[in-house]
Amino acid sequence: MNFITTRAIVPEAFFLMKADPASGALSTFFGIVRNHHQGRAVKSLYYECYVSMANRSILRIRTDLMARYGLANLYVLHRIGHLEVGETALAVAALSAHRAEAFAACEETVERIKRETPIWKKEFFSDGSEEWVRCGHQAAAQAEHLR
Amino acid sequence: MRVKLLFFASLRERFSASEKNMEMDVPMRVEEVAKTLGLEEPGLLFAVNEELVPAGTMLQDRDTLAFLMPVSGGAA
Repeated sequence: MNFITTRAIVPEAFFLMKADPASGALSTFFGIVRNHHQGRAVKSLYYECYVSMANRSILRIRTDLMARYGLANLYVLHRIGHLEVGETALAVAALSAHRAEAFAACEETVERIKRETPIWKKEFFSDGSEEWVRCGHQAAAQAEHLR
Repeated sequence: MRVKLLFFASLRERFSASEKNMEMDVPMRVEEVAKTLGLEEPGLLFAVNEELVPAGTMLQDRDTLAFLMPVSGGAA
């Protein structure tokens, strides 16, 4: 399965999915490029990915969470490449019989992708500077996972 | 033996390459390859054939070794 795209993500498309008569809840999350980071004005972002490993990582997360929460479906799409402020970088939609499972699975999917999936983000600031975002605590969590 | 090395993000920029081949006369551990390349970043992670591995992992012929800086996906 492919969860990575270089094309624009259209949030509306996630609300037009085929209805599942046994599912009473659809919880969605959209990660959108914002115009600031730690007090600095952001102009745009660039996402880079280890595509084959990212697909495996997201498939593992999806399989885990679909089983744990008994979901009817779990949609994940992460965009890579250059994104402008306001564009959607990540879309997650969890479909389940009841709302509690859909809410929880949606949140956990996003958290696990941020923690486990090899996707990097470069911020382009309005002052012309640029910077790869590094998060030490995430590395610590991953290192812990290996012990 | 030959191992394929993959670089992403800041490491790709640093090495001006997204991949390289490395020939080895004797089998090496992941951490030895990292040291040879001068990679001693705190929090650096390693993946062999798309799975995270400990730094002490011994490489096999035709393995793909990726160097992964701490990740940050998503936007929110």
